[in-house]
Amino acid sequence: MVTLVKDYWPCAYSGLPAVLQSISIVLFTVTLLMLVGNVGDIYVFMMFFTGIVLALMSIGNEVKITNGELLLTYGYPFKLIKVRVKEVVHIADINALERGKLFKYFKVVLVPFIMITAFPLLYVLIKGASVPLQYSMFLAIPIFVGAALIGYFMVSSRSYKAFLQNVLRVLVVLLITINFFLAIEYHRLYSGFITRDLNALIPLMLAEILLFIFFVAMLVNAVKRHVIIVEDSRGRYYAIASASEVKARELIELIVSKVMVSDS
Amino acid sequence: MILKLPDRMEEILLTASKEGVREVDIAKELGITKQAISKALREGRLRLTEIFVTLAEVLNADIVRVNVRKGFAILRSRQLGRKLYVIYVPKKGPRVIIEGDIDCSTNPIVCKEVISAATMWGLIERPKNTEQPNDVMTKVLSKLEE
Repeated sequence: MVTLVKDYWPCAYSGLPAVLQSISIVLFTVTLLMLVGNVGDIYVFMMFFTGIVLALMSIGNEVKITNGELLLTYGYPFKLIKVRVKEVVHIADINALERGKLFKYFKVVLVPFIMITAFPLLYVLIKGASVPLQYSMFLAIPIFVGAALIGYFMVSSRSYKAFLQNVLRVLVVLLITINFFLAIEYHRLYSGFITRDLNALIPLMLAEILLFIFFVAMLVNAVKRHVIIVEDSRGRYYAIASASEVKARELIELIVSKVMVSDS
Repeated sequence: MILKLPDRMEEILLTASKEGVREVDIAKELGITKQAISKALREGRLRLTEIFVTLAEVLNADIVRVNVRKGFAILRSRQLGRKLYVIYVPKKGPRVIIEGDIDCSTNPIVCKEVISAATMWGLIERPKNTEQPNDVMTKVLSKLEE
């Protein structure tokens, strides 16, 4: 039996883990919007807590090869979901392919990303001008995160790296511009400087920092990580993330030799 | 090792490579039991994987992609640093194309075999007579990179 725990982890792009991850992403966004709308009751807490539990349940924990089968384990800190992959007929390092797009194999995962991109826009349409100024940047988080994740699935790895580098540049310019207009709007509404009002400044800065951290993390992920696609004889797809290109190559060799070339 | 599958095995693998075809359908078409088809498919895919692995070893290359359902593999040569596209041509065996080194005017036979195999494996539609072999080859390789 070979156990691989260090540099590989299953991605929640298909099956039950994908469903749990999708629900948790939507719950986090709804929680955020409710907080922005000052709806701070027990339901918000429950929603956030459920989101965390579901997210933890869907985290890829371990990849094992045992008796000619691939065993993907999800859940942290407890291993709750086990997915056995038998009769592998197709394996590919999607990042090494010129035109490899995750969307081709994992279409359903896009649903929550589209939802979280649309939610803040719907929220603004419904609530209109009643969105508090200091929380306005929090509304931008799901939009940018959703758009970045949609891009991650829709374009090839090579294009995505270039796309993210451009997005980071645009984001810096965009945030400076948005901040400028927010400062003017604040001055118009409260006849003072936003820099002197920490209650307004901190939420705005926090949202921007979170957004920036997310994009830097996505860029690091896009540059370093490689995703391996595995298809079984029933046409089901699974994804495994590896720490680097070298690790991806090693895992492919291992799956080919221990799972695909195995008649057990 | 012989880099060629038995004809009957090739026939079963090619039939199974078509979209939406079930093992029961293949069994009916070929007049054998579903169990025999399952066994032949498993064995055929295993043999095909072994062929690709052997080629990777012989060519000193890393495996980037293996798709035994569609009869192809992509390798990366450790010496050249370029990709090697391998397509299994029924009744002939595997054919290797080096990335950026495709010219159907100098290798018309290989091009013809690869295009024909790509059509049989369901990778591309049957090319029109008006299409240039180089264009079809580009289409085939681009399909392998998807």
